[in-house]
Amino acid sequence: MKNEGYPAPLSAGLIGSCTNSSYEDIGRAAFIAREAKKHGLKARVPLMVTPGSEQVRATIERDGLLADLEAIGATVLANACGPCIGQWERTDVTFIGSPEVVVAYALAGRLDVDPIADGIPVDGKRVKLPAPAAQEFPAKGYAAGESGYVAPAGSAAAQVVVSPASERLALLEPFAPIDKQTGYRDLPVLLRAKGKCTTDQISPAGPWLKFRGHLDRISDNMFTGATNAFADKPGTGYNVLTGETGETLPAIARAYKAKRLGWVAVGDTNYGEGSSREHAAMSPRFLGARVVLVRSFARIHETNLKKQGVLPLTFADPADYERIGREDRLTFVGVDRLEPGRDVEVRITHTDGKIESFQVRHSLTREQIGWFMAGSALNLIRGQQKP
Amino acid sequence: MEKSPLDAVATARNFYQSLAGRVMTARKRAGKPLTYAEKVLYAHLADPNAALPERGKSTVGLRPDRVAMQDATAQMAILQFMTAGRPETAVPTTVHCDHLIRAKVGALKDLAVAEDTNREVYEFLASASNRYGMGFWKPGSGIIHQVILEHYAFPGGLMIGTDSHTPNAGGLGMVAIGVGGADAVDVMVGMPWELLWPRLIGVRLTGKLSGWTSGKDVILKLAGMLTVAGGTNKIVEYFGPGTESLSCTAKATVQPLPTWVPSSARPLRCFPSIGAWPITCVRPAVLTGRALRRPKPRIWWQTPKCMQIPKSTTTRLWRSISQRSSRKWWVRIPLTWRDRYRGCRLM
Repeated sequence: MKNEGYPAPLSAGLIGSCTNSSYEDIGRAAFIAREAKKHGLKARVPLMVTPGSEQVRATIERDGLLADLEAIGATVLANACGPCIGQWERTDVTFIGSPEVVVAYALAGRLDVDPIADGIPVDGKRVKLPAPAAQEFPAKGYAAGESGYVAPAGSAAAQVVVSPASERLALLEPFAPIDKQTGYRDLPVLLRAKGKCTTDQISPAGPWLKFRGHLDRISDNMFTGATNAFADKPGTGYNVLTGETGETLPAIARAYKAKRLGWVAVGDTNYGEGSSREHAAMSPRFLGARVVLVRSFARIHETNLKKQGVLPLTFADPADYERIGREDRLTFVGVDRLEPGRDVEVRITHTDGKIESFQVRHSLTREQIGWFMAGSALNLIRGQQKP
Repeated sequence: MEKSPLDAVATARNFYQSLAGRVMTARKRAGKPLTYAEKVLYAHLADPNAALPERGKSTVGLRPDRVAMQDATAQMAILQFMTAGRPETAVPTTVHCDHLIRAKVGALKDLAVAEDTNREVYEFLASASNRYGMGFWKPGSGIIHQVILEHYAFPGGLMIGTDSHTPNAGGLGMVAIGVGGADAVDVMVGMPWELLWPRLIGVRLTGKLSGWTSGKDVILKLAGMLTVAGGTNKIVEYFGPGTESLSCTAKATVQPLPTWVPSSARPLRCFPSIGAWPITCVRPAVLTGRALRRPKPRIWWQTPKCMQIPKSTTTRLWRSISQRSSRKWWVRIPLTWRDRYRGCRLM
């Protein structure tokens, strides 16, 4: 601890969250609290308890365990994730321990004493606590508490409530299928991502998370974390319609979309690594991406693109990545006749009118080609439902 | 459609009817004894006749028994599900409002504030759950993983959840995997769920939990050990005599911790190599898993016979897995280790 330079005084102790909030967990913590009370000890820092469920909360209240914890100064929070997922106003260094160990440290109030081996320091003396013991299940059974469960009707007559004015939620329109004859010709390149391009660079989180249920809104974050070979500043690009650089990539994509012009995103190796975040595939599809052409994909992101109806392709020769310029237009030949394992030909039309072509690969199975043809996997499923 | 959490028992019993046959078929095809995790995965193959998967290489289609979603990740998943035009979800699904409540003053006031600021989200989730037959757990009803353990988990089952702590259901012998919203949508619309066939890590627990040692210390110890070997795309399976002293709660706690905290998106420096998708399960030979319902009826889960592995063969089984590969596939953790608990930095 000293080596790392962590401060010795603790600022808070937290018990609960999903993994340590059962009846037994709270029971062990309450055991230590009862022992502490016998010696007149109180928690020296705020001690917060989040019961795992209403059933646990009601049961520990009935059995007096909650009172044991409150007697040494604990506060009970809502039966929810709370501080464990950062839903509170603090930014301290955090340590993990079992509930009973956390209570012991909260009583000590400091990290630089060992309350278990050496005891809690009180008035120059040390109070040793016995090892905790608790019942696995309540002897009297669980108390019901307030029922928090709502049974579904499962009826087509039931309405789904989304306010049209909402900034956080918007119903999704199914993505329209793209014409396979005309939709993959002379497409501009929105960006050529340089180096790492993770899902967090394609769809950054942070302040954007509040729009996660509103695709139109959250799409304003698209590629804003990506380094583009065609622009100096990350998240910006070159608009082929105006010939200007410096606009943000989502703004350029929206300009193309307004002209019903699809586009291509070009990327480097392991494109889309990171998380399985679906927005990283949905936002490009929503703003008009037809193809994502890269040196290599992270597997999960590649599958997510296929599901949304974007065609993920990889360069047969990774060196072809360098051939793509900011004003080039790409035509993908034969996407209406995709076959598993058969390469696709790309023709680049350069600004000087010169045309080059090269081969690219796809990894779509026959089933996934069905998703692509339908415009998305969910479109295909919707088509299969009985009316 | 499950109208009440008690219907989940019927879901499990229904699954058990064909379980023994599926496990037997898998055992014959594999031509070697299977670990508990392998039995669960084989029993959930979408195509039981597909080529035998290879650990860490093959991608397989699976049919999970359940889906659970928390209120943050459920939003886009349900919005997508709605575009598929299905009348209800293909497998039993539940929604749990636990992530959007900010802890500030105390239970009642914080809950009231959350209900106000997140009203539109809660109304959407509640109405969509009602429309498509999903069980809805209101804000304040509990944390997703504890509610799953109390009402929905069962030995031998396979579940996905849109939250990194989903493996918690391993406390009742379920293989429970944390996934993204896109995976949840696949399962809810009835598509096979794709998974890279995981590698295995066996953990042999010896001794007995006692004194100040708890399930938390086991997982912190394991996390420290796995920092070297790595845990991404692997199933951690516990076995050995020590498992008998772990309660259901302790078994839930020993599931691997996720590498990140969603709100801060910063890695936990303590466990850099455990995957962001921790995959895990607990050996049920030791798991006379029990879930008590309130106040009655009480349901006591027993691990189905076909899933049990005789104690006498477990060590041999893991040794043979170790020998077949160049890597070491299992580690030992004595529950009475002497190093005193020192705490572990989270972020």
